[in-house]
Amino acid sequence: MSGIHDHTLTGAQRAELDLAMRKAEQLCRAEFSVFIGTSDGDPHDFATSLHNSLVAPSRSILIMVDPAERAIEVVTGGHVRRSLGDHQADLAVASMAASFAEGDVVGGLRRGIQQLAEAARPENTLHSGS
Amino acid sequence: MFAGPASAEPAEGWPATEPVDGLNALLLLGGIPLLLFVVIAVLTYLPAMVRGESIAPGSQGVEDQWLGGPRTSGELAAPDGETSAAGGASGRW
Repeated sequence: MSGIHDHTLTGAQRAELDLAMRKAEQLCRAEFSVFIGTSDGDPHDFATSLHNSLVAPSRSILIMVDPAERAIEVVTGGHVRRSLGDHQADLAVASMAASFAEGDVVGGLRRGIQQLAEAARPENTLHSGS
Repeated sequence: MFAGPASAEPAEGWPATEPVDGLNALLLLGGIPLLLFVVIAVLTYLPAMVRGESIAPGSQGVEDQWLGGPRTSGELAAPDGETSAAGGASGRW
């Protein structure tokens, strides 16, 4: 378990999160990205800036964690949003917040990624495109 | 044999000393160090406050880590506007 304030990831923790992200990407066919650091200005605006800087924002899910502001932001691209609704993203944020409050950053992120991937699976698509 | 306290008159030609007011002495000995303390604190924290960074204890030294980020590190894109199709959620703990 790692504290939220000494959040610098070790090599093993990075590998653990990388593995969780790869599994999630295989499950839901969306790209995952995790940013841990200081948000420049408003956390939501900063998170959308990060998301828009990704290679394929429409098909990407970004999780931003700002330990100093104790803020979590999940940004889902327009394509991903067809299957992963804002309510499901909100549930994942609540789950991660509970883990972070206990100081479990990596565990919280791993579970949050898994939860988002489960919700974003293609069979959960509400509106099939024609 | 007794040792009495030493005393001497000011040397001839020295200016006559006037008694120092207690309030002036307090302002001089306490006010100037306090003023220096405030000036140094402002100079230390002002740049971070101007940049909008948190100056709360324990919030320093945050190093950004981005897993699955863009391959090239350049300028960030603009944030979403009102017409964005993106969604998501926000929270704090």
